[in-house]
Amino acid sequence: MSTQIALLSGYARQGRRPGARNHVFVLPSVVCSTKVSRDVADAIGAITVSHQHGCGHIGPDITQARGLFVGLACNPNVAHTLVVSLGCETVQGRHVVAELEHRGFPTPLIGIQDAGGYAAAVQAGIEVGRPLVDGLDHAQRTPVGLDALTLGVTVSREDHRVGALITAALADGAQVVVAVDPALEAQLDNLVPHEHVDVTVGEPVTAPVSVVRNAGAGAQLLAATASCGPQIIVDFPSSDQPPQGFPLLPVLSVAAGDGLHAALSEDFDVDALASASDILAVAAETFSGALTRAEQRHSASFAIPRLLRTM
Amino acid sequence: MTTELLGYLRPNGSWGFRDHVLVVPLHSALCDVAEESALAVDPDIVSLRHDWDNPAGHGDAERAHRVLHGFATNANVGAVLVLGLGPDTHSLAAALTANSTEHAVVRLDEAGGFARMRAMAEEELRRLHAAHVTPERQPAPWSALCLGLECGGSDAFSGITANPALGVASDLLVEGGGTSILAETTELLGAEHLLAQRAVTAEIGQQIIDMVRRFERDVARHGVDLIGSQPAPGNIVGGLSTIEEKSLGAARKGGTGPISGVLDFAEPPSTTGLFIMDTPGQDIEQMSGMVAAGANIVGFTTGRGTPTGSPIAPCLKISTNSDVAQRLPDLIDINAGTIIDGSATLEEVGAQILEAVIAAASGRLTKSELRRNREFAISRVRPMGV
Repeated sequence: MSTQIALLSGYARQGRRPGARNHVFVLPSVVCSTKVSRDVADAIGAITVSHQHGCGHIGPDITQARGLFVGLACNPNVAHTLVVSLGCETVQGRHVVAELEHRGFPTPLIGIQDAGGYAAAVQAGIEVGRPLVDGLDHAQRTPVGLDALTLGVTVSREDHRVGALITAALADGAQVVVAVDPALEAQLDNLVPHEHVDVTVGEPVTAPVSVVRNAGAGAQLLAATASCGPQIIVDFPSSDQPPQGFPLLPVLSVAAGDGLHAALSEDFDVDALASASDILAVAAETFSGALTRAEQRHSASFAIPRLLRTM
Repeated sequence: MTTELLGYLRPNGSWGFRDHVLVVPLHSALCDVAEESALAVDPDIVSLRHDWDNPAGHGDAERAHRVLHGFATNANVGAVLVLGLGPDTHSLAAALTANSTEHAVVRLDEAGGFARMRAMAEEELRRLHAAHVTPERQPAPWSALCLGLECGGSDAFSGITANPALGVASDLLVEGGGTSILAETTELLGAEHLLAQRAVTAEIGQQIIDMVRRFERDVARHGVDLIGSQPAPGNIVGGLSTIEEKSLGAARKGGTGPISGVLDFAEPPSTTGLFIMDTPGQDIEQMSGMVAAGANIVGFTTGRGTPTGSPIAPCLKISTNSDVAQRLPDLIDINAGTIIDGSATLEEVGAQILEAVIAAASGRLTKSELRRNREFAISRVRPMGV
C-alpha cells in the first residue's frame, strides 16, 4: 500500500540523490581540530561536529574512521564540505580529501600546522568556507518523487514497526539502509525480513535494502548509517535511552511505550501507537522541510563507531 | 624559584589552581543542554562534551565513570552542575558531597523532557554560580601540585630537548615534594626496562613491565599492527622512525628520579612523587585520564604544534624546536628549541618550565586557556562493549 504523499521537495545534487537539508559541513579530521572547526562553522553559519577521535586508532579503526568522514561528506544533505586537519594525526585530513576527490567531490582542506597556527587556521577556514555558505542562498527546493528517498533506520530495540516501515518505504520506491544494535544481532532476520546486502561504514548504498555492519551502538548507529547516504533517519532507541538528533540529518525518534520514553513523550516525533505508514508520512514531511523535535531543540549527538581500543 | 605558588585550599584539604564552575552531563544526549545552559549563564562556565551514552552493561562503564567523576571532583573545580537521565546521578552526587564540592543535580526523567530540563539546568546553574564564592589564593606548598606530563605531535627533537627539559622540571618538582604523572603506555613500549629499574620497590618495577606487556597482548589479541598509528604520520615526517625511538624520547618527560607507583587509567596517586599511569598515547584521552586522576596542571611537549587544552587544567605547550615556536607562535608557551640553538642548557630550560608551571598554576593563563581550547575524551579499551 502506498502512502498519500507522492511528492517530496529537496535540493538537487549533481550525481547524488537530492538533499533533505542543505548544509555546509566543516569536518574536523581529528579531535585537535574540532575547536578550529567549531569557530569556523559558527562564524560562517555551517554545521560541524565535535568528536574525540581521528588519532591513536589502530588497524581497521583507521580505515573505518576515514570511511565515516568521507561518507558523511558525501551525504546528500551536505552541499559542500571543508575539511580541517591538524597535520600530524592518524586519520590524515589530506587522505580524507583525496578520497573525496576520488569519489568526485573536490573538497578544500585547511591544516592548522600548515596554516600557521590557530588564528591563521580559523581565518583561512572562514575565507574558504564563507563563499560555500553564501552559495546556498540561491538554492531552492524542487519537487522529487519518493523514489528519491534513501531512508535510514536505526534499531536499538525490538519493534514490529521496523519491518513494516521498511516494507512501506520499498513499496513507494525508496531505498532503505538499516543499522542494528549488536545486542539484537540474533533477531536481525525478524527485524529486517527483507532481502538485503551488507555494507560497511561510509559505503554509499545502491541496493533496495542495505544493512550497515560494524555500525556500533546508540548514537554511533546514527553516524554509521548517515555515512551510507540516507537523507533522513528513523530511530528506534532503546527504552532506557533518550531520543537523540544528528548534526547533518533529521532524525525521527520513535517512542517505545515504556521506560524513560514514557516520561519524555513530548521529545519524540512519533509515539508508541503510530503505525509504520504514519511514520513514513512524518518522514516525508520532514524530508521536505518540517523540523524534527531534535532539530527544534538544537540537539545533536555525534559518536564515531569503533572496533578497537585506541593507542 | 622566584615565583610564589598560590592556590585555592579546598574544604577537603586538597589544593586547586583554578576555580571552575563545571557542568557535567553524564550522557552524550545532554551535552547540548549543558553547553547552552553554561553559555546562557556565563561563558566562563565550562561544560564537558563527550560521546558516552552509558549503555547498559558496557565493559568500559567503570572507566567512563572514573573520568567523569574525576573531573567533577578535581580540586580545580569549585562548583558542579550534574545532568543525568535519572538514577545515574546518584553516585556522582554522593562523591561530590563526600568531597565537599558545592553542586546541584538536574535529572531528565524528573524534568519530564528536554525543554523543562534546559530551563531547570539554567536556573540551577545561575543559582550555583551566584552562590559560589571564589576563595582567596594563598601560598601553597609544592606538594599541592600534580603535574601531568604529556607529549603530542612528537618529532626527532622531542627526546633531546623538550622531553628531557620537562623531565628536569618534573625532577625538581618531585624533589620539592610535588607529584608528576608520566603516562602514554603506547609510548613507553621499549623503554619499560629502564623505567622499571627506577621503581622504588621491585614489585612496582614488575608492575611497570606488566603494564606494558598487558598493552602489547591487548593489541596482539586483535591481530593488528601498530604501523600507521605508532609512530603517527606526523611523527615520521618529524624524523622519528620507530615506536622504540619515540618511546625512549617520550619516557624522558619523567626525568631521572625514583618511580613511586603505577596507576590505572584515571586513578588518583596515593602519595606525592612520580607515578606512571596506564593510558593510551592519544593526546586527549591521556590528558583527560591524568586530570581525572587529580592532575591540576599539564606540561605538554610538541614538535609539530597542537592547539589543544584541558577543560579544567592549565596546559603549557613546550615546543621541541625553535622553528615550530616561530611558525605557530599562538600554540607555544615555552620554546625548548633553545637547547638545540645553543642559547640555553637543558637545566636552564627545565628550570624555566618549572617557573612557568608555578606561574600558570598561580593564575597566569596559558595560551590554550585564553583560546578556550577545552578538549575532552573518554578513553575506551572495550569500544564494542565486551
